[in-house]
Amino acid sequence: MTENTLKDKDGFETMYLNMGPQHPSTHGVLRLGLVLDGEVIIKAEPDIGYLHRGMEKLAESRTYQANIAMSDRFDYVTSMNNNFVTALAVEKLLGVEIPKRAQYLRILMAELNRVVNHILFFGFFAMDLGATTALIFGFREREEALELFESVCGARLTYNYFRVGGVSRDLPAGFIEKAGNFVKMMRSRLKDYDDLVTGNVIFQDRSVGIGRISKEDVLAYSLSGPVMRASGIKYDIRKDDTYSVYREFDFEVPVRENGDCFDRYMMRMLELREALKIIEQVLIKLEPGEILAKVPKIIKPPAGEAYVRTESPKGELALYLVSDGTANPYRLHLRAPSFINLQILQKILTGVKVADVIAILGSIDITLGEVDR
Amino acid sequence: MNAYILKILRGFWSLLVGMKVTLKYFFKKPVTVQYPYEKREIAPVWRGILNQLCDAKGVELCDGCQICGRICPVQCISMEVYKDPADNKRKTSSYIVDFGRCMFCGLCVEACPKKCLVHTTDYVLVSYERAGMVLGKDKLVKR
Repeated sequence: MTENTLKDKDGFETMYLNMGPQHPSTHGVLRLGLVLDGEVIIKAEPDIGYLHRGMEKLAESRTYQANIAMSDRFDYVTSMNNNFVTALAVEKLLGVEIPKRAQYLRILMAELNRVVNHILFFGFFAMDLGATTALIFGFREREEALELFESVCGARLTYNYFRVGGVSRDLPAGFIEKAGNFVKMMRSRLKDYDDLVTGNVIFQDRSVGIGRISKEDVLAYSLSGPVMRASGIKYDIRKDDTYSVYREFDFEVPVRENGDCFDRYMMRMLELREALKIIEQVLIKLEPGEILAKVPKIIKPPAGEAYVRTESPKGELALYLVSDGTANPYRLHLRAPSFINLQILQKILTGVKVADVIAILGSIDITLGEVDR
Repeated sequence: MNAYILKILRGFWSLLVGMKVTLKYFFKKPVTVQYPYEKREIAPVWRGILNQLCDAKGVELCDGCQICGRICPVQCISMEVYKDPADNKRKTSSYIVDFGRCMFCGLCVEACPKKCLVHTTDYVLVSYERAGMVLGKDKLVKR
């Protein structure tokens, strides 16, 4: 927090506006200190840390399996993807081979979670711009997906589904059919989404050309995920630095050119369709088999370090894990996409109007649980 | 001027298209569940409040091996163990789970070698004080 000594270009006093940490549109507890000249922002100071739980430190006093349980809470919207990266890092240290079925189940869950994240984004972004109906639509579809998760792992938000060497439970009877129905239902609902929000002129007026991020800025700030691809950089870790068995699936990496709020919104809608495509392919490819590799009861990886990067719905989610040969990790570091994508905010908020702050913040799609950890 | 009128018309049209969607759902059954009066079905694998199973005669299966307590990431399970002189077996004199701490990860249930620790589909944990969340044998053991 700085003292408001800034003057506007005519030498008049400016106004300091506190936005958050309890503002409903800051997606959690983000505080924005805005220095205003009339309605135009001349300086923005994002203030984070209100949700800091010290997870990287906590990880050092927990076993590897308990760390997967804790990883649910990094980014609580995309728990499966957090499970995925943690499990991958431990397996890289251990050097175990994962059974085929477990690999497919992991991808199925990660992509379902991507769908959940993107429909939630759709709801929240539209709500930030004033369309309350869209939020209810988003939550309604999310509910269906959460029921799928619930029938597999017994929880709706903190799944703790991944195990070192596989997954915890096999699919229940009738899951494949239910998931197939979900994909079909989602496809028809996407048409509704486009009619309701994407084609709406008010929505377009409020998002086209707002908060433009150039290609150079994307590279300089090392942004990732849909935010990066909306600015015209075609890079997806699932394709370009593939992990697990993603190379077996046929999907496109959508890319948009303008890098404004509307493009970032469209990126998610396009990615959602690709995720549905992958889910369909997994459901066809699933074969009966083992779901858990043979790993020792107490996991003690040999001393060493592992760095694993994955494509989470928010961007590049990477985990750096150092083992000293004991049952607990020596160090765990998370490269949180929300945290790094948020850093551009200070730059693109300068010179925009107050009403656009919400649109820009919403379009970056952050979860404060992951920003503060 | 033409572009201005065109935009108004386009805006009006997009509004109608959006209204069509909402109108479609207006005549459908609401998806909301009125919670206290009606409850949604919960999956049988739901990770709810823990229970301890007994055998057919009503004798506890738990032999106090402490694995569940040790694997728990938040250390919410505690027990006291004694050796029964009658049959020379290890038994628990108390078994306490602090559900105020429990995060329902299910690692204890997976680790139980006797398979006597199970999740129920029960999820209601309401109490006026913290101590009410700490459940002992009287609540946990299913006879």
